[in-house]
Amino acid sequence: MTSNTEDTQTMQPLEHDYLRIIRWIGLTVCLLIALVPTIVFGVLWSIPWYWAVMGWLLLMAMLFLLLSWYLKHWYLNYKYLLNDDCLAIRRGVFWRHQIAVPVSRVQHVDVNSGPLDRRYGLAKLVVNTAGTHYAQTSLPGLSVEDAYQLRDQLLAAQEGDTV
Amino acid sequence: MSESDIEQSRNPQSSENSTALKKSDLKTQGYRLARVSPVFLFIEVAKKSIFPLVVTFLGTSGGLQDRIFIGIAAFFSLFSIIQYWFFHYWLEEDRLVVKSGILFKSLRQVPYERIQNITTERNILHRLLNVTTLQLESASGQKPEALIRVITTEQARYVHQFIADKSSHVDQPVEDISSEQGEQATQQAARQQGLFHMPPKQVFRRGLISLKALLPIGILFSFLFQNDALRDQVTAFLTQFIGGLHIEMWTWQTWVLYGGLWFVAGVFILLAISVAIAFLQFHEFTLHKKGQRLHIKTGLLTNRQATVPIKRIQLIRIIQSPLHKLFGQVSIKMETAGGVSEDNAMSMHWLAPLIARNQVDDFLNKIQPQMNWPDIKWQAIEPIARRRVFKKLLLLVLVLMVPLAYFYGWWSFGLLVLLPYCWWYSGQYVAKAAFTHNDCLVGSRAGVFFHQLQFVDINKIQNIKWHQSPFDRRYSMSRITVDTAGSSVMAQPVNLFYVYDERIQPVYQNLTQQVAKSRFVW
Repeated sequence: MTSNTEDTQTMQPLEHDYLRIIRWIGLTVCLLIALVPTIVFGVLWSIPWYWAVMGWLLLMAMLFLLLSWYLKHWYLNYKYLLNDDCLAIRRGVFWRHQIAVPVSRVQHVDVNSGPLDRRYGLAKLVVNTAGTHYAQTSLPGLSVEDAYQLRDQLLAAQEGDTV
Repeated sequence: MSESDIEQSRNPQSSENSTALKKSDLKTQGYRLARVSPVFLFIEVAKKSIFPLVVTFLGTSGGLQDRIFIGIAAFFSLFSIIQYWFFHYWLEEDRLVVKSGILFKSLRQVPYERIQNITTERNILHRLLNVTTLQLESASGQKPEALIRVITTEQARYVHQFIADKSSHVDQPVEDISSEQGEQATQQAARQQGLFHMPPKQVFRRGLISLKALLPIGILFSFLFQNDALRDQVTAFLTQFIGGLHIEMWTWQTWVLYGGLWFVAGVFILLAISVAIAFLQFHEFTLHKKGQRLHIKTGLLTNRQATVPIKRIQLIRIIQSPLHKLFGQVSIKMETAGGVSEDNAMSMHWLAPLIARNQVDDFLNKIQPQMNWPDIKWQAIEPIARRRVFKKLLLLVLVLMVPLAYFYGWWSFGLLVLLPYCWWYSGQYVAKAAFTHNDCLVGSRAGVFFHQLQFVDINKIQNIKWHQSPFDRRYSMSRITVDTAGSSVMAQPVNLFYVYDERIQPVYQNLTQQVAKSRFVW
């Protein structure tokens, strides 16, 4: 985090609604994870149902608190920037990475939008290169207009360039 | 027929200059494979299923074994004959069409312009029957565009010639099989022209260094001891043999003597088989550079020829094992984009199976003069990384100690004697790892015993990834990984690591700009 800092300031964040989506997903995952020990211990020790429900809620709340802290930072660290040279995407809380896809290497671009994304008017941009290890790079949490605009920019830069 | 007539009239010039084009070429029944083709198809199918066959052979016993064997063989021969019946191909004005398949029919159209490379294979059986296997490759995909197994040599040359006339990528076939008498002279000449040639002595050395026989012998032994009947036979033989030696009267000197002899014999057999494999693979390995292509010819019984456009080389890898070091040699491999992946035996991944260390720069410079190979300046990684490597090894030792402590108690602390070695190893590791970055390439090297150098042309970089793990962050270090096309997922990409972030950042920025400015050509 030294000379990346000035870069980070100019980089674009994702749409705020995307944080809501990942929170919803996180909440569902927490519910499911918390359900497992509740059932197991409930059966093993035949705990009365109200204790089981309380334990379940408590466990879920704890998990969700931790997860939402993590998700918040994950969201805050997720940044992107498209300039003349490349599309740079930066992410990660503990293990950070920044991938640079040079515009001249873009093979094709997809814009996907799942049911939750559509609910909030978001879309996901998927950029494909001919690489082996990181051939596909995706950028979720864009507004639909932004996604289309990015796609058009990437493709426009392509046109003059490759055969 | 009318359609082909129109095509001909539309393009009269091509039918004039290509003497080879006959009207009969355009008929849709097309050519068939050579009549001996089922033999080769059968061998191919058998090769693919050699593993289950070996398992059935060694895993079962008695009459069942024979019956399974005959059944499988009958099925395969029937299969290959039917495959032969249903395989047709023909040459059209602008494309080659291959029709194959029994239940699932496939019609494959390969435009000549898309064909980048034609590989031919002739092993001893091919030569006896005067046939050739042709493989047509395009720039994309992991599989060859078309595989014609097998057609007569004349026909193969005709097809090759025909495609070479039409395609701007493919070269004319080399007239190598024309006359037996002239062969000696042409070989002599070829050796002198060649950019790289492996004399028998070098091939012999390659066998000693590669120890290719280690794996098959290991597999053979493990199978021998899987099968009860075979194991009994072997042990019976051995007890009879050793029983005559009065093993109970041996002193430790005798043990050492006989053990030593057995060991020497084993090593000798291992080396002999390895050398034999090396000769099979790399006998008369010659590499020519013609224009912007490399022509590679190799093999003793199986004569393989491959043409690799230089611009298709994505990554160059130089490998040095401890044995390489002993002989002062290295091996040079390449990764090519598109083409055909490693598991296909017919495509070529060797630039030089074995070359003296001091010739490497010169050799690579002849292949890619624009890269300025001798001028590569290595930048060392941070010396403080020694601590990080040592901590990793320490963790490994501690993890190993846990089960040992459970079984042997305090004795497991004996493992701690490894720690000085770990300290030495991490020092060596850091001393040997380095990276390089200049106007035309980026490269990395690493490895204490098995040292490996990798280079990527900037034009071939697909994307660049900068990472920082929490451990990196503690030392304010980071790493860069550079991704190329045509690599295998198992292979290590070029990786610059254990470097301070302030040193890595300029490299990252610079690389990004360089790559964005350059054009990627297949």
